[in-house]
Amino acid sequence: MGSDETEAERLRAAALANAESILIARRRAEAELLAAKDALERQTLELEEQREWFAVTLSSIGDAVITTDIQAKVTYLNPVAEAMTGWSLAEARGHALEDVFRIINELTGEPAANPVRVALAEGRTVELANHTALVRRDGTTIAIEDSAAPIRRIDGEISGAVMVFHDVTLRRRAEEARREASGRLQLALAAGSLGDWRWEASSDLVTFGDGGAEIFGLPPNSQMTWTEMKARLLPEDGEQAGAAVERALAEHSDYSIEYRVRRPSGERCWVAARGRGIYSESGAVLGMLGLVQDITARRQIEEVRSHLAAVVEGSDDAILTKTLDGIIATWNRGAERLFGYSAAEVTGKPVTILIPHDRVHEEETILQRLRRGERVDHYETVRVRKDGTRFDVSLTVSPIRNLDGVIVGASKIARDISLQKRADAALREETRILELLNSTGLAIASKLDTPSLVQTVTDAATQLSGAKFGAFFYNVTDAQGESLFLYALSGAPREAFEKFGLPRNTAIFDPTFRGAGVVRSADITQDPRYGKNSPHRGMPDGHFPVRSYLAVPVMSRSGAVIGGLFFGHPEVNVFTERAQRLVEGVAAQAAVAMDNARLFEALHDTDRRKDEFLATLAHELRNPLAPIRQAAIISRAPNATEAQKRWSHDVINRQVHNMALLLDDLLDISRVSSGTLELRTENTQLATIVEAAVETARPLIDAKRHALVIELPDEPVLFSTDPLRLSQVLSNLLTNAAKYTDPEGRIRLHASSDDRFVTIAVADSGIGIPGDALERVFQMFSQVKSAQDRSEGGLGIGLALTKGIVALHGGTIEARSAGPGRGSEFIVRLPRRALRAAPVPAPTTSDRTKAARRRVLIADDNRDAAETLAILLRMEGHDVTVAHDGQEALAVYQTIHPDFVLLDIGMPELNGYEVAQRMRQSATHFRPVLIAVTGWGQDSDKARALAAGFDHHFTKPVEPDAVAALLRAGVD
Amino acid sequence: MDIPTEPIGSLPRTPKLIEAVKRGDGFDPSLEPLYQDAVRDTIRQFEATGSPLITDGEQRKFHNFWTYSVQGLPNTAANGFAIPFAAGHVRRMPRLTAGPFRYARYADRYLEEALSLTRLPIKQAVISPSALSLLYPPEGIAGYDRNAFIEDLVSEHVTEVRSCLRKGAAKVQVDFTEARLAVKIDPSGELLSRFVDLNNLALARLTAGERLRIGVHTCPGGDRDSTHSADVDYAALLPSLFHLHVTDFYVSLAGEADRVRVLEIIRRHLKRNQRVFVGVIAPIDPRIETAEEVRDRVLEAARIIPIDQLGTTDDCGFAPFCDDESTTRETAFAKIRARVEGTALASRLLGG
Repeated sequence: MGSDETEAERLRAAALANAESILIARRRAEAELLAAKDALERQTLELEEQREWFAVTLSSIGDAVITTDIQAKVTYLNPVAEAMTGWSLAEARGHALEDVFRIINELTGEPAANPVRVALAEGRTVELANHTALVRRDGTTIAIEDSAAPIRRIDGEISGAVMVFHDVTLRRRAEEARREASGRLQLALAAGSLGDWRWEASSDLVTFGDGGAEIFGLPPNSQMTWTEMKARLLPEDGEQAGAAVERALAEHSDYSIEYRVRRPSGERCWVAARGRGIYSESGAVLGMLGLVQDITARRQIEEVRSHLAAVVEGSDDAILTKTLDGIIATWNRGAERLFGYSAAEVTGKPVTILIPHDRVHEEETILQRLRRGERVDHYETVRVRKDGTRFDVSLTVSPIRNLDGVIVGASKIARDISLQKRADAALREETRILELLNSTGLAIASKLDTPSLVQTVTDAATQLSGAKFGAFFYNVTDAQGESLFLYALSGAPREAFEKFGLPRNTAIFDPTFRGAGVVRSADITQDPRYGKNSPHRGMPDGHFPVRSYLAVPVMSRSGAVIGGLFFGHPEVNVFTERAQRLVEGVAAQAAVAMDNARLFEALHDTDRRKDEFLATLAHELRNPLAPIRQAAIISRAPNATEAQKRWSHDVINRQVHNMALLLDDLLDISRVSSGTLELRTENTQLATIVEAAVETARPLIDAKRHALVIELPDEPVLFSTDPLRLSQVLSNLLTNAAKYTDPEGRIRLHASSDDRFVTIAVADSGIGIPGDALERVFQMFSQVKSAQDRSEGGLGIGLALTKGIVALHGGTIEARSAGPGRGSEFIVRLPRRALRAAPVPAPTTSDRTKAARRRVLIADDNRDAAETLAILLRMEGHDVTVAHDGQEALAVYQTIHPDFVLLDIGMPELNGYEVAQRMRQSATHFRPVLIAVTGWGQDSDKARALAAGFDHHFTKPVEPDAVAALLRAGVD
Repeated sequence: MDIPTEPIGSLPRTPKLIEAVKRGDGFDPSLEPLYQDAVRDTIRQFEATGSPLITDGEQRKFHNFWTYSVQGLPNTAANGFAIPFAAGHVRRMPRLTAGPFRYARYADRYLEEALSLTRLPIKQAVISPSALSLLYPPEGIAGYDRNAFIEDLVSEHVTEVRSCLRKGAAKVQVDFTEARLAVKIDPSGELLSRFVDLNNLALARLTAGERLRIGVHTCPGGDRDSTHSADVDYAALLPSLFHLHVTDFYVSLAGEADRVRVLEIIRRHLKRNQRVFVGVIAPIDPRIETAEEVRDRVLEAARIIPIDQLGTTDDCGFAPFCDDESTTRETAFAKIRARVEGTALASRLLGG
């Protein structure tokens, strides 16, 4: 290369040479371009034609069309687009599409995506967009639907886009209107429970609308043939429906029928159907339109109404309706029967014609409640019939409302409750009576004191009888044999009757006091027995008026009349038979209660006396123990003299003897009470008995320095008696006389006899007996108080025992006294019985002659008793062994083989009975004499001892002499 | 309204790459790791500038923006025409020695790599056919006449452009820096017109849609902080420039003495469907402009150019030739950031 300048020249030459080639190439290109241009022009012409065609087409179509270039600048608007956008083609051409076609989302107002941009960018058709609105040039909006598609050249390159859109406002309005109309129609159908169907003759298909399908129980849009549809009706209804349809089609008229449909579920429904044929111009049947309505509910209501009407007419109750003004509107047969008015007579009349004057105000009260919408339930009142009679009635009144819910009247049901009322009253009365009887029975049963018991009975019986007043007179017979003691009053104050004195045993009252039966009079003043007695000849002045009269005797279980219940009422015919029965029942209860009260009082008294007796017994038993203890001490004293020892022994013997007598008396009175005391009667001289009795009582008589006079018959009196017991009687009387007479008193025993009786009287100048105690002196545990105050002591059973023994003899004993301090006399009267054959020998005294030496076994858990007896027997010369219980006794028995065995019964481990039995069982080669020694001295005790194997039975304290005598007698 | 802003394309290579290229052949396979690092780093830093559209910095273009597609062709010689620069140095083009003319490589290969490294839009710069037309020697080539060469040239260029577009380039920029040089060579303007015709011949073979994504860059030719035709009046260039059948033009302006005059010329000749990206950054000026300066330059341009036809760019690439070390990468990215920010500032002000 050369210099820069040359370099530059060469560059310039090369560049320009190139420029030539470029120019050639350009000319060639231009020629090609020209040819292409010609072709293009031709194509352009064609295109123009096509464009014109398109433009005309686009101008004539209803949609708006906008085209753009590749840059989305507007190239074309058709007239519709011009009108919708507000831009003319000339104005819009070249503008960005968004300037001309501005769209927003209808719902949000936000700019919407331009479909052209998407079509250009993605080269695809963009479908219609929803809810798009075009914002026109003037700012108004139009709801549109749009779509855009790319425009491609032949080579497939996108050259622009076309957008089509249209105003959907009218369409939407039309759709809305259609939807609204359809909705109204559906609403109307639904409101009226209506459905529709359509039958096409050409296809014989019935198409059900939603409502019609539902009524037939089918799925929506069901289709079936006419025959299949008819088969869903009940057979008898299907025939009728088919005939109606055929007639309608033939006559080109509508049909209107009702039929029953059986749904697939088996359920039945009533349907009202209307149908209209669809006909061609020539009159051919094209089909039919049908409307159906479910009228099942209506049919059911009609059925119910029919039933209700029958019920109303058939009801025995009065059922009526009235207006709010109280005017009777309807009147059933029940009302006719109850009130006596016919429907024609009362309809339109005020309901007050049925209401008694004194209750007219009730109607307004009822109407007020009705106007408030309230219901009156079971309102019990009185109404009046046509004939004027009043009767009890129960009303139920309910408001009647019209379809608007406004109260326009009332329905009233009236039921005659007269019988019910009476039954209720009777029931209440029965209940009252039962309650009264129950409370009376409880009260009577709970009372043990006679005054309150009698008052309770009187009050109860007065209530039960319905009397105005009542009285219970306790029957006490006075000296004249007639008197009544006013014990209790009910219904009137005591002062009202006190002045009249006690009712007398008149013809009216006598049957009651005699227990002859109940007297019940409807009007006593008309009774023939009334007014026969002076001075009143009837009721005294001031007495409560008595017309109705009822009197019931009160009789004890023994039949004795205790008293009488009397009731009166100023009105006639008050006391019914039932009242009488009720009072009789109360009277019976009262009698039992009063008997019980008496028994209770007697028992209470007996119990009290028993307690006193036991206390006295304890005291009496303790009395001898003191000197016995003291004598024993003296006897053991080392420094006691022989005289003292002998005195001590005497004291002990005496006190033991007194205790034994006391116990004997107790046993005897027990035998007397139980009826087991046996008399050993024998022919006895009276003098002998008197002598024995005097001898027994003599120590006390002498001790108190009484003067005793014995007066016996001159001739000996021989009679059959139990000398021991009679002696006991007389000695008791003499002892009492001595006991209850101050020292240096006088006692007289006077005996007499005749063929029938032997009478022995014992009189004293002692403390005497009060008159009210004369009967009680012979009772068990009875002691006159004055006697109790004395220091004489005693159990108070002597006279009871005396009386018992006398009674066993068949005799009597009587106590007499002029009163306290005036002495007493007891008179015993015995019947003279035939003499007995041979006297019973008296028990002999002990013989202390020396006997054969015996081997003796004494068994007693009381060591003192055993030892003392052993000492005594040893003193008699016997060999005595002592055991202190049954087992030891058996052991000793086996060892010593005694001749005599004295066994205490009450021993521990083995009692005397068991020991005796074993002894008897074991002993084979010898048989000792078994003697029971026990405090149990009843005959039964003796029998049991003998049964156990004993040979003898001695009651404690054992008399040593008796034992000694038995030992001397030997084992025989 | 956002004013668009785009780079021109080239960025200084990485120092290591420059050194390695200096030592040997730019096509040495051993340089591959360095090339990868350079491209990766360039894209990373580009993203960091906030640029809405980036390039790969033409890191792999060897030797430069003009000859990359023919570098190493066997039917070329190194002793082609020389392009003198005002700084005194010369860049010599290769010379075609035999036909047929074919590219040694298309720029779409660079695009593929860049697309794999970023999600941002990529601009791919390609050399104009008018620039490569200077390969044909003035004496001609036996058996391969100039017409055939022009035909092959246009065909190759269209192939490259279309390939880049189809592979996803957001923009294909045709570097037409020889436009101003053509006026310098032929002040009558005839050469320039022929260059415009040649480029239009190529553009005519692309579709309208393709042309929408094609822009043309012109500048006085920056290399080593120097130019080859800054002395040519824009008034002689711009009227013909806007005859090119593209919509986007990238025109250097920041380095012009009278920017307003140039803007007015642009305004007069800019067609309604065209947009001009005016240079608001001077790559050959070592001073880093501030965003505010850029903003002001944008506002200045917006007073004359309709805003919907206005964009911003750099006057030129920062390193059209691979061995250009006159500007550091840091400076280049800082200037780019200033352009982006300044343009945004102006956009906010202008947009309300």
